[in-house]
Amino acid sequence: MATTSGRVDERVDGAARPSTTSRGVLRLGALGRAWRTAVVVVLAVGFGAGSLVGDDHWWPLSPWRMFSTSSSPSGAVRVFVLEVTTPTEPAWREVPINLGVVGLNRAELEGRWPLVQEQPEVLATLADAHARLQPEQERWDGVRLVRRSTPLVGGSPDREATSDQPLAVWTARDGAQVLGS
Amino acid sequence: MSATTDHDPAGSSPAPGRAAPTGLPGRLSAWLFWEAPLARVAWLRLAVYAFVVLDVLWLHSTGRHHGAADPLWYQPLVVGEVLGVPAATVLLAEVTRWGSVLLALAAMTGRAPRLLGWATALCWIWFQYIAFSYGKVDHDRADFLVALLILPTVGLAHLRDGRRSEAAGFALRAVQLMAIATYFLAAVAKVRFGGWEWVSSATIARAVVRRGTWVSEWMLDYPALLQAFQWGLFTAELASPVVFVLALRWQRRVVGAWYLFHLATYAAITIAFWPHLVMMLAFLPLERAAQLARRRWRRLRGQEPDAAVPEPLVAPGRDG
Repeated sequence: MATTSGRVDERVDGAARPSTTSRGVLRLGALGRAWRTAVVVVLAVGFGAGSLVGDDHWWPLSPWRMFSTSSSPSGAVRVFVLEVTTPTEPAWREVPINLGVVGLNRAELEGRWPLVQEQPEVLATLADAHARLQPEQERWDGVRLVRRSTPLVGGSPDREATSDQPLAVWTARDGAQVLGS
Repeated sequence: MSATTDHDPAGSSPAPGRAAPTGLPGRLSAWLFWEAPLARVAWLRLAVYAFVVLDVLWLHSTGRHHGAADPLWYQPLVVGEVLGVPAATVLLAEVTRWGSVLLALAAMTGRAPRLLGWATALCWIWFQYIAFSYGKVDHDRADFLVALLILPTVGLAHLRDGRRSEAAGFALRAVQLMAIATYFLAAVAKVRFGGWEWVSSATIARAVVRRGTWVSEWMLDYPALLQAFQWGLFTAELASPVVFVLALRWQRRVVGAWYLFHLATYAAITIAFWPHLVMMLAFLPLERAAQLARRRWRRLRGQEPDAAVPEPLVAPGRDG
């Protein structure tokens, strides 16, 4: 171990043999080199396997798949939109889907669409989370999940043709139901 | 020593009094355990721990709100299932967040580098786990774990350390390898999930539709331009490991080009892989930049160069 005075000790990293020094160079012993080499091998195997056969649940060994999917130039860009009502504002209005508003972000909500399809009443927990995160605001008494589609034509969006499809709704008065798929 | 001194791309030259490494294993070993300036590790650790503070307080702070979400939204990752990590609570999220801040600040002092370094790593990783175990993983953050876990292994290192160390060389090399692996593995993921046709797809067009800025939205009218960009990016990612066999001068130019790429990405779709940008600092002679800045500062103030600082700070080596 080195000291603040610049003196160099003879042993580094519990080496099996004393580390040697020359001109202020701290060397590693055989043990120090061996375990470090093993770490590199383990990381290479782990990250390699994660990239080849793993999925997001393998994090931190998950594949680096940002922007990795192929998108058809003529498909549609679909995003989830969240709409809510309150006792004083009974008309549906859009609110951002992010962690500071509902404790989840948009991609997380999109990824749990199967859960919402099975149990649409889980939309009520978004109102609960919103009440916890923004207690100064009026509590939501209705939550509606909407899919917004913008078609792509030759790789460019046709914003004029954007459409909304309600997917599921929960209201404090009428309960929850699935509206679309 | 010139900042553009080339290193031996295949490995390293022998240390004084040591035989030159022979054979591939010997050359690989010399390359992996090169004699790096300890001061460089000290500066990199400073950047890493400063980033941890910025990250959990501002850049990636919202993951803590998962503590407010109902536990039914919790989707444990494999590591969480194995270790039995529970769903987040507001308290747990805040403890890991502020624990990261306080420990990283303590680690920035350079004292107890292993204890404070690994404690910081534990808190930061747990905070990331809370952020990622609700259905969405940010794919740019895994490499930073390697920096947090490996850098403490170097032990004590000072910002004006004049010594070199093989442990420091290994740590820097490991961070470099991990940083470059992210590019290569991103290309692998594109082939795996998007197929070879990824390069001709509308992936970036969609990204611009979702997150575009005035810098990029005009490109939506020129889809061929965006596809050309995809070809260039994919090629660069696949070829990224070549950086390790380049002469040092070119290696740093390539690293600079990657920084420009990330700047352009941020301008176009407001996405930045912040931890990765810190990792890429492992390629740069940080201790020399700090020394240069100090000297320029003294000159600006009309003072004599600091006689207490030997020049060069680190004995000539092969790392530039």
